[in-house]
Amino acid sequence: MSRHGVIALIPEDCTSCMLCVRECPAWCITLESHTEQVDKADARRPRTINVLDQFTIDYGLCMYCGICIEVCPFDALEWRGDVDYSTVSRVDLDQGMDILAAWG
Amino acid sequence: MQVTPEVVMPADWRASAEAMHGWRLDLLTAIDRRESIDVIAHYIRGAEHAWRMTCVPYDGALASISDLHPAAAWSERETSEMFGVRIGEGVPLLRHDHDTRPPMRKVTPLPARVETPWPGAAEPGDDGRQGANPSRRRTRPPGVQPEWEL
Ligand code: SF4
Ligand code: SF4
Repeated sequence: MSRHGVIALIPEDCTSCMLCVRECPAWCITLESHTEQVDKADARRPRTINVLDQFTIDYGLCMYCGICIEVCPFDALEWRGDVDYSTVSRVDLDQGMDILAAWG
Repeated sequence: MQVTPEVVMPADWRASAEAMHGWRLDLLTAIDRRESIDVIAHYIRGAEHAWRMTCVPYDGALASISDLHPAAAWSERETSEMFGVRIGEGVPLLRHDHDTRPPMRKVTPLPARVETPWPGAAEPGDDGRQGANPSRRRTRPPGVQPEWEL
């Protein structure tokens, strides 16, 4: 674990389980997902998986408690250090998953 | 850093603060335990940390320690008004409307928590096209207390 910086998302590891969204005391995570059918020839029934469409953290509300990182069963969230995410407008503090995945 | 708080009786709160002479009071705040208010103080000396805690009944009072640790002055006023416990003189400063309930008591509803839609209400994989899953039991969002009757 690096020192507390910002919370980053690893979208490939996120299963859209909603645990972090529900545990966040600041209600600052929003997640959009949909289900898709995966056809496997040997499966008796068609399987469905959740596909992540959008994952947003509102850094105007986040208090860096780290609860989301603690509860994620898939280690899809992690601390990353040293990011300058200041913005000129309040709405830009809503950081979508492209930003959350990319910061260093 | 994991230091267990030393719990003292309210009557011994000042003595415990006196014993921390030479330490810096870093934080004084409280937790609503639903039966009483736990007042906690965090002291620092160099790299050392120490917690002191006392349990004050809802209608109880605590002596001020701000003459011993001046840093407590503001925190005591804030804690006393926000949690509705008497600490020291208890001259109101922050809240003028004393008909309302102390905002940090768990029984006091937070209007923003009642009015804001909870992002956790969405179901995994539900993008609104299939409609909500009716089988799931309703979970209460964090920070929303049962007595608010949502
Ligand atoms: S660090 Fe805490 S406040 Fe911020 S998104 Fe995670 S759970 Fe929410
Ligand atoms: S807890 Fe982890 S896997 Fe579940 S939605 Fe949050 S980031 Fe994704």
